[in-house]
Amino acid sequence: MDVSFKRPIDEKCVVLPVFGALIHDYAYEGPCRFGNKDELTHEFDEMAAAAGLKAFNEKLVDKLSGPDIELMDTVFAANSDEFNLLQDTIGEIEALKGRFDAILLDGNPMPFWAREVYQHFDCPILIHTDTGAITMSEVCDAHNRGYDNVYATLYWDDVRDRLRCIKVMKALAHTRTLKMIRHESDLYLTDDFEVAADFGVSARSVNLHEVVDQLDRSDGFNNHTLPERRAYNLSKDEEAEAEKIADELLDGAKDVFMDRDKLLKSVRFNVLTRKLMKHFGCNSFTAQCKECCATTRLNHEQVTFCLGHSLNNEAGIPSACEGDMNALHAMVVMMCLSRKAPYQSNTTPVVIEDGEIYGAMWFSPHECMDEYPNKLYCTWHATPNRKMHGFDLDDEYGVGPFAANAGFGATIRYDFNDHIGEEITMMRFNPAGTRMLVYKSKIVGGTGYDRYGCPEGPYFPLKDRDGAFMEQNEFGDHTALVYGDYRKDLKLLAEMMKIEYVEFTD
Amino acid sequence: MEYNMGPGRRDRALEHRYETAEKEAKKIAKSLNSEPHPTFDEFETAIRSYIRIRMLLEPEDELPDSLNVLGQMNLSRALGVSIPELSSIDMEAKCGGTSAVMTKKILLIMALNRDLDIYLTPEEAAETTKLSMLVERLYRLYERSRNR
Repeated sequence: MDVSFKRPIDEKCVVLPVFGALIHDYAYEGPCRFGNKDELTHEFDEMAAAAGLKAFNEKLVDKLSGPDIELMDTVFAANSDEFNLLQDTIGEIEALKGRFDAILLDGNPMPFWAREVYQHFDCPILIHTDTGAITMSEVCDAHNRGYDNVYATLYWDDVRDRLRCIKVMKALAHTRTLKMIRHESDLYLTDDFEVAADFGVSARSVNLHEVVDQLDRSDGFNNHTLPERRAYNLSKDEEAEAEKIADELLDGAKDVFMDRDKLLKSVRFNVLTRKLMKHFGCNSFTAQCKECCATTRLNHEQVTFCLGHSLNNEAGIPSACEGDMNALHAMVVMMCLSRKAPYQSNTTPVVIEDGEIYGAMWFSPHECMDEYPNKLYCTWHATPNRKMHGFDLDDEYGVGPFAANAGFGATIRYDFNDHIGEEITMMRFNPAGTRMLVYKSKIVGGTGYDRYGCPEGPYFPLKDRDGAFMEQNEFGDHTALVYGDYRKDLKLLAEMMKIEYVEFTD
Repeated sequence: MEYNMGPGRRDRALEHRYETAEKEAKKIAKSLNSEPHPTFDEFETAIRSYIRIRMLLEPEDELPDSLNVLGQMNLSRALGVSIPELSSIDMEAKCGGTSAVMTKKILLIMALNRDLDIYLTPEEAAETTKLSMLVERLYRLYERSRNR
């Protein structure tokens, strides 16, 4: 289904490049200047500055072009050897205020006006110059004056990586979540509105009963919960779209463990939630599982939210289970950094004591338990997806029901045993949003492919597994997982968000 | 300049070669300036000779179209090394941070501006990366200045 709202991954860090040049008025040598006479002239400096600007603009395109960064036209800031600006550079930047997220200073930006820039503009300012002498002087000056939004960059990769972090922070700040609830509560897992406030995320609630009524095949008038409004029941086209999605899912599946009509119910729910997201101006989704389940309406409608979360994440729409807004933030971050669809799951240790596995019913027996005794973790849920390796890639999958008895609640079934040896990274924020927990490991086994419910996931080892568990108690249960090693990006993001970074690895 | 890259590294012979080359090149410019309305071909022939001499190139050296390569060839002829060997030479430090090759291009354009009494702007100079493009731009400016 096409989406018309801006997804978090579609956000871009808009960067204003500023190229500094020193153009001497006269040719002379002295304690700061030496060279052949012709190379000391005003004319030479002008030509050198123009050549430098051109080379810089070419480099910008070469190094920073991509889906995460938007380049504005470079502001050329020249000053004379009297150290006065030759044009109203600050005024030029001021006129562009509100359009850029970051400023990149390059070339030869003199400290006297670089200071004006960071005193005037409180966005992140990156300083990237040749030998680093200017960078270090200016960053030191800025930090000493309390401007911690000024960053030194050494390689062009550093510039790109920091700008991508700014994009992630912007994406978070523009995340608007449609949260389906029974009633506002924190009856089950963490409900972290404090975190949302810090990051700029906001959520609006929609009531389960109104949503379920809109699953009725009718024109939307006379819904019980909205008796005198026209509600957003699916149109004919939307119904047709749901049928098409269901057929595509079945056609592409390696294994199908459920009936088409039950699968279709889950797909219809997803089509409806996207319609509601669009209507309410939201670009992400979560739904309370426990509270909504207890109404029994979902049993009546034969719907769970799992497939909808998988399909949303595949489409680049962060979608988190169980009303966990903290996990939703992690989904946004991992999706934006990796450009892959993350998998949110319960992330728990596989504990063996006295020959017994705690919670054994959740974990399929696997030889990795003998290979890594009490070093194993498992991250398990029911919302894996086909795009965990990348939005342009498709992983093998099955389709199966969440509910054992009535066979409803479609889920993507994913066999992590097919991915043994692959690297994975998981992360989560703490409830206060002041710390970031990251696990990096490799898959050593899988569980739950052909089971009901939400026990599907990878087994992975951690060197300090027990220490990780104790630390994770300060963060919470769910993490967002992607394939690959994203520690470097996450560590940089934590630094720019000014939060503590905590890491456990294999 | 590569004839004076550091104390104890002043190469008077090379400096003299450049001074002689400059004089010869100026003669070509003067001869061109004395023509009432040179055709493009005449202009191009003169400018190519001018550049060849200024860049210390031999008559049998083929002029490359890339101004970057031209600068490298100049340095190679001046220092008596091959172009690949240039990166291992301990070149002079430059306050402004321009590379040796870029410096060559800028100095060439400055000399042409001066000797032809025209003005290729810094922006136009930055955009001009090929010899053929340079000759065309210079000719347009030259004609315009003659028609004043």
